Amino acid sequence: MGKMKILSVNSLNKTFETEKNIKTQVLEDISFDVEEGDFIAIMGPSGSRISTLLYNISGMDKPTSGNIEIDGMDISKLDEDGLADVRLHKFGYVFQQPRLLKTLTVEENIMLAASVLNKEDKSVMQRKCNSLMEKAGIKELARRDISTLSGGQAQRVSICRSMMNDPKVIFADEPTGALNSRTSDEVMELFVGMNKSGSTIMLVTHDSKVAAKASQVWFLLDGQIYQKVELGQWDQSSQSLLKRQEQVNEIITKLEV
Amino acid sequence: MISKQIKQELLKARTISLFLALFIAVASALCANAVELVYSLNQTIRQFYEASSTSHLIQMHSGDIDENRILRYADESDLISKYEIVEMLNVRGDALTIRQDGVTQLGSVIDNAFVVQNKEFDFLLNSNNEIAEIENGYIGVPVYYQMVYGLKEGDSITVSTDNGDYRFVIADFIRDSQMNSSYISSKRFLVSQNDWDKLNSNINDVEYIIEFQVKNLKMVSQLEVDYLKSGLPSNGPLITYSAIRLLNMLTDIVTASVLILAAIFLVCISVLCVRFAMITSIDQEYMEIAIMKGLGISSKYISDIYMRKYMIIAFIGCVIGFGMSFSIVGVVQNNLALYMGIAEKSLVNYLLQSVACLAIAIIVLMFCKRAVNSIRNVNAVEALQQNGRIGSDRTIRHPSMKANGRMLTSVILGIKYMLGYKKPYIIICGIFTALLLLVLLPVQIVTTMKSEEFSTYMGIAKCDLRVDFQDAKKANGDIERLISILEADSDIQSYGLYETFLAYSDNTEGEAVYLNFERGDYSEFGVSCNEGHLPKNEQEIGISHLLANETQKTIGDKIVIEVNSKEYDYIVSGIYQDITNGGKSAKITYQTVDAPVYRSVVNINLKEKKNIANKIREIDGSISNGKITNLIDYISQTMGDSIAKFIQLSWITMIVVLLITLFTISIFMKLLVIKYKDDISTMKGIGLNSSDIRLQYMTRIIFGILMGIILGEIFVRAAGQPIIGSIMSGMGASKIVFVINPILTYFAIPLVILVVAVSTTFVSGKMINKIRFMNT
Repeated sequence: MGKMKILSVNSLNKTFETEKNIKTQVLEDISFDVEEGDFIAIMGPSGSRISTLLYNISGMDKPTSGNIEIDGMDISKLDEDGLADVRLHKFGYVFQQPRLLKTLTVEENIMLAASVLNKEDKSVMQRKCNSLMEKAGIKELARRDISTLSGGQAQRVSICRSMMNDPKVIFADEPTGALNSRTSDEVMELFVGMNKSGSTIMLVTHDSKVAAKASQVWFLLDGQIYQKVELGQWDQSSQSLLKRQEQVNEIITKLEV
Repeated sequence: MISKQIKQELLKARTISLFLALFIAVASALCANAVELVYSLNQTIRQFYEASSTSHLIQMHSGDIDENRILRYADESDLISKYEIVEMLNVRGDALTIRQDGVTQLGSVIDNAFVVQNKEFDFLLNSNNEIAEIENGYIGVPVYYQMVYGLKEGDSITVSTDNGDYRFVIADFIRDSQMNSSYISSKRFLVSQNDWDKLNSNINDVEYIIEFQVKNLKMVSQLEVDYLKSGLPSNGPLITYSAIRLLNMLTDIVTASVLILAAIFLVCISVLCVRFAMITSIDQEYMEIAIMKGLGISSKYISDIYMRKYMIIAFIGCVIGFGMSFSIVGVVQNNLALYMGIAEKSLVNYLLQSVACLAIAIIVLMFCKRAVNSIRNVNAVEALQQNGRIGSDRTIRHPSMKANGRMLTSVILGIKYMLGYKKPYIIICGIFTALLLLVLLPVQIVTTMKSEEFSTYMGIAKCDLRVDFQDAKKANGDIERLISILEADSDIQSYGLYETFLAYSDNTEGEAVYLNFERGDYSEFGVSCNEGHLPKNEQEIGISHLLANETQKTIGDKIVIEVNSKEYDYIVSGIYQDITNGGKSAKITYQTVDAPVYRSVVNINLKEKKNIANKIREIDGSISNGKITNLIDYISQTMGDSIAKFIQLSWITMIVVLLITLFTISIFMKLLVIKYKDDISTMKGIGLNSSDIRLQYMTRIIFGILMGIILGEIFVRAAGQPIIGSIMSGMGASKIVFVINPILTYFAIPLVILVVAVSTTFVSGKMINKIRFMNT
């Protein structure tokens, strides 16, 4: 039995209009499907609009035209509240900056969206939060103030937050962009682990080492998908990371030229 | 460079700058008006008294007089420079029709008298402040009636006599330097000598005003005692220049006090708003300030940018305020203009107005300076390390926020944010405390003045009806007849007779002080005492606040009262408020006084209050001399001007307060949304919708406002009375107990403010809709 299709994008276009009514098309006729358990890294040279694509397919922004279907529902025509609902129920997000709320403790930050959704019992929710924190190695930080966390710790809190509502897809916008190399590796390990447990992840990055840990790498050029590369699931024991990274770098270099 | 930065700063916070300028403008306009009113009032009264050449001492007298004796007394006295005897023709209320709908003045508290123009001094002035001249068939009507009944020139006034009606056409409205004020219950109508003679031959009820001007104003009190001791006609109130002046100024003094009070509140609100704007803008620009500091730019230079920005705002506000003060001067001074005609404005008026505006701007700037000093505390390293998300917010553990559902989560988030950064909410709370005080004080004054209890602050017992006999000698038969009627009338619940004698006591310097000495039973028809109680036995005496001040007597002291050359000893049992008949009075009970009664009053309570109008007619038909008053009417007629003024003020303050609520909340929401833009977009990013976030903001703001309203209510109860007491002390009644209208005070007004605040928060919250993750 093949994998189930959960996200489907058809003929997506995005045009920006300047104050002087000059229109610039930044995404052009993009179509693709995402299947359950996929781990896709999207890359591209500067100005290739990889983040714009991520925001448009994740319900953060609205495309100018085209359809985006999640679980068979077209979200491209939804209003702001409808999109907020989709974000709450179907998607999880990890941003470049962890964007945690300083007023809340670590575990309250993780449980915020779940608290609004309120679909589970309080004790079930707490257990789930504890388990996520344990997996992320931040269990002892549960009651801590956000301001006392390091960058890596904060990003792990943000990943746990994205997982709380059992999202269909987790979108990550350069999640390691603000981290050093070691912390970046730790965060990526967490993503790989989540993917192995069945989570679907779409991640935008400029770092080939990060992209090499995904199972697919898609390359964007001039607002279009230029190439899709199937790397297969990365296994730490296989020690193939360097090779995968070289493969990615080769295409990026070609694109940048 | 710096001017470019200031310009940028101003443009960046356009709405807030505009709002602050507006606040400063309104506060300075009010303050300028209050100061100008006080000055104008003095100037106007001076010019008005000069034009009318007002009397320094007047003795009202009913009964016969020996003009030659008075002439001799005046000639021989070293104190008197001029004297005049005015014949006033009293027209009973039921015989006088002033209202254009034909209703007579029956039941009115005012004594209406017809006079001709004086020859020596105390001239009645026309609306141009010139000595009025009235031709046959015409009449000059007191300004008071113009105000009350909306009369105009050409309207007619009718006097009914046994020999037919006399109709007069209003030629002009009369400004009377003695009897202008609504607090004075006598009014003079001016007619020609010919008409006066005709009326006199039909009515024949003449009362006299014996008037004096002294050589030096300091001699007035000396003349007062000297005159009373001389045994000259004194069957009626004796009023001094200072009392006339006070009564004429009263409404305007109270207005000026309230304006100053309102300006003080507005300055407080402006200062709080400036402080709020400062802390939020420094918070927002923390990073920029930190970078500037990091680059080596001094705190002084950065503070200078902020300070100069606020100086410009304050200056613009104060200039607008100066301009505005001219447009509201008419509203504030309409009372003055109507009653006395405003004196020509001089350079001093404008100077005072500008100084007041400038003073407000300086006060606001002084507080700005303190807020700007917080720039020194910006730590460059800290800011740069933490990417500018510094300082204000902290983690709040309680209430805990786990699995609460959409609505409760939003409310708890709101509370957490509020507790995480309390400062702006404390300011909002302060602003609303001040707003509530500002709106409730005039409302409380109105309800207090309108209440039946208020009469007791004026020295008038609370009753349904009172019958005054100004000339007790003439009324003797009437009083006896009235009492026998009251005894037999089953509608009457109770009544009491109170007789006043002329008496003296010594002040601290041993000089005689003239006082109204009243005897009666105060168990039912009493007045409120500041301290102690009204007399309950023959040894006790209650004295008025002014008499207590003059004689320096207090509870338990012995006081000697001289009546008809006999001395009586009493122990002071209570001190009460009295603003009637000069305010110096004393009350005893039971004891016989061997002296002629000078004045009498009968207080009556009815079983059914709705019968008051019928009862007035019944009593009026059976007596010929007494004047019957419905007490509620008495209050509304004597206090009418002030009540109307305060009702107007209450409305104005209510509108101002609602506008301030609207502005403050809009600005507050704007600042909060800008400050928390990142958090809002994060919340939206993870799936909270605009309504959830708006609910958080509503919770925060409403919490602050509610606290403010509660504190405001507490302050009104605790501090409102002393504040109003000090305003009212000018009226001789310093200890005012507020009569509170609970529905208005605790429900309606706070609710209106809350509704406007919540609606504004809701509408302003719409800007949350515009924030998307992409914008940040």
